[in-house]
Amino acid sequence: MSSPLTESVGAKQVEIVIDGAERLVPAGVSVAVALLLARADATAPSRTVFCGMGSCYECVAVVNGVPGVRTCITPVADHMRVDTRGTGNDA
Amino acid sequence: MRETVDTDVLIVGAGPAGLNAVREAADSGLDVVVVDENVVPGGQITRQRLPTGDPAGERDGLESKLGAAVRYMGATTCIGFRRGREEALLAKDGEVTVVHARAVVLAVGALERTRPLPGWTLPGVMTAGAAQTMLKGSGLVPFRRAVVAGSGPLLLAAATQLLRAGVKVQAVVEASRPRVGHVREVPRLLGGGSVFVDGLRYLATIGLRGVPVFTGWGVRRVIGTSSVEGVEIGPLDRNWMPRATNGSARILDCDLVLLSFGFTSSTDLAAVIGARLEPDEAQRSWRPWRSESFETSEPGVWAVGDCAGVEGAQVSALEGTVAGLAVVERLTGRAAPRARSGRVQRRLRRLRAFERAVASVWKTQSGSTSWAADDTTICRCEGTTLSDLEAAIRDGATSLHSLKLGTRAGMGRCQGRTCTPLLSDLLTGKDLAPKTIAPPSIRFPVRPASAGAIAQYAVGDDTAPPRREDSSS
Repeated sequence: MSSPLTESVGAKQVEIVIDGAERLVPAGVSVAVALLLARADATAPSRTVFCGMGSCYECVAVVNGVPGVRTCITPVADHMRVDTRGTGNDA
Repeated sequence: MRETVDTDVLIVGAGPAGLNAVREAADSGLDVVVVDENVVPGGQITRQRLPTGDPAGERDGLESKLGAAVRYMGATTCIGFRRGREEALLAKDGEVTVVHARAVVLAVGALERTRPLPGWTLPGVMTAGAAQTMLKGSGLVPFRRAVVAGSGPLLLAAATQLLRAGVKVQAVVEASRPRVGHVREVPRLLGGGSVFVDGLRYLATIGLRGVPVFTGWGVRRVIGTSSVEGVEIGPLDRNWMPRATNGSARILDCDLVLLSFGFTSSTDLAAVIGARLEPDEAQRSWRPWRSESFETSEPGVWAVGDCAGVEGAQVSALEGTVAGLAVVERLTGRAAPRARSGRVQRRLRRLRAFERAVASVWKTQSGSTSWAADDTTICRCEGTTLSDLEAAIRDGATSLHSLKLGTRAGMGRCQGRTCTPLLSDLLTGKDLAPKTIAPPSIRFPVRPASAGAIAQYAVGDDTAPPRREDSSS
């Protein structure tokens, strides 16, 4: 997504892998926000973040191999691998 | 494997209520463990920015102010208790820590209420709190045009915050409308002090930016194929029943819809610990019974803040102080000076009056149960629709339990947190009164836990682990 949305978060970026594709995203954002920023090219998920505070489990993904991670309360980290295709719901 | 921690006080939830309890206990020399699902303490209202991975900037937040006797366990979920409160089970990354504490303070907050309506499962529909969380935690909301809809003062707060973040707010759609009877709430509203002033400031900002505010209106449906493309809004009657539009309904373009209808106490941990729940008429929900110092019916377990009746951050913080002082007195025999307790109680009374006035002005009306269409999803995890639920009710389901057995609603991954208030509204009909039905039954673990974590639960236990109600996940 274009720059005006990301101006407020500072210049530092981290590289994460979303569904196999490398992405630069702002440091210090949640994985859920990173997924929304990257969604223009990713496959459209049927659900995304809803409650935003770890209650509804609709934003879960596989993060670094761990299924069922609530991306809304998980910050991005350099070299993190996020997979939204499939088993995020199979904790 | 699993770690065991002994401490004086375990505090679950690091928002305004929990952190004040932490302060009182730690100041009196007690050992404190405080656990929160978020990486950094602060809770929702005082949510801190997420760490950026820069070690220089990490240690200046709330966590560094907690003090040496306080152990903060972030990104950690309290999944339940066993033997009453004696053993708390905390899960992080599939590993379980068992905490033995002499006192437990539950300060786990509230969940935002929504209303199911056509299209509300589309990506781009979220709670107002979700957008606020993104702004506070991540510093941005990756959307361009928003409609903020529902009922309550949070709509104005969220709209103002979106405007400041550069998101265009197409409209604020408030279901309640001013009534003559609300005049008598004015003195109590003024008693809210700075919170009341904040509200006026939000209204001013929204007015200055030219954002249309529709009062007595609601969202009829969210429009979009794979994500939100717009909403249709239309007028409501006093009971929030959709009125004939006579051409007045409007379609607004947007890629973000925020829904907010107040809050409901998060009571799952109180229930699983064995504390007695009582109906909370104002919130159309349940809350743990509490003594004057906010101890629950389970001795040694306190419940404070929005998890014990939703009354906002200021009341929560004061309750945290009261419970913290009570815990100190219980564990050390040292009582707080009378003058201090008196001051806290007087402030609590004034703020409570303010919160009651807010609840009365923005009371959810039962006409909103008709906003969903037959094929609208009610249980977002299991995909249970309104017609599935109405069929089960026609077939004799009169409790949350029987609805669940008949339709699977509430049995999904969120364990009913999102849909239980909606199911209870359907069951209680036009009164929306929870006292007519039993509260939901809660089992360990209160959050999905890995098989490994559940296996660890059984280690060293002489009884079989409780079975999960949800056998599917």
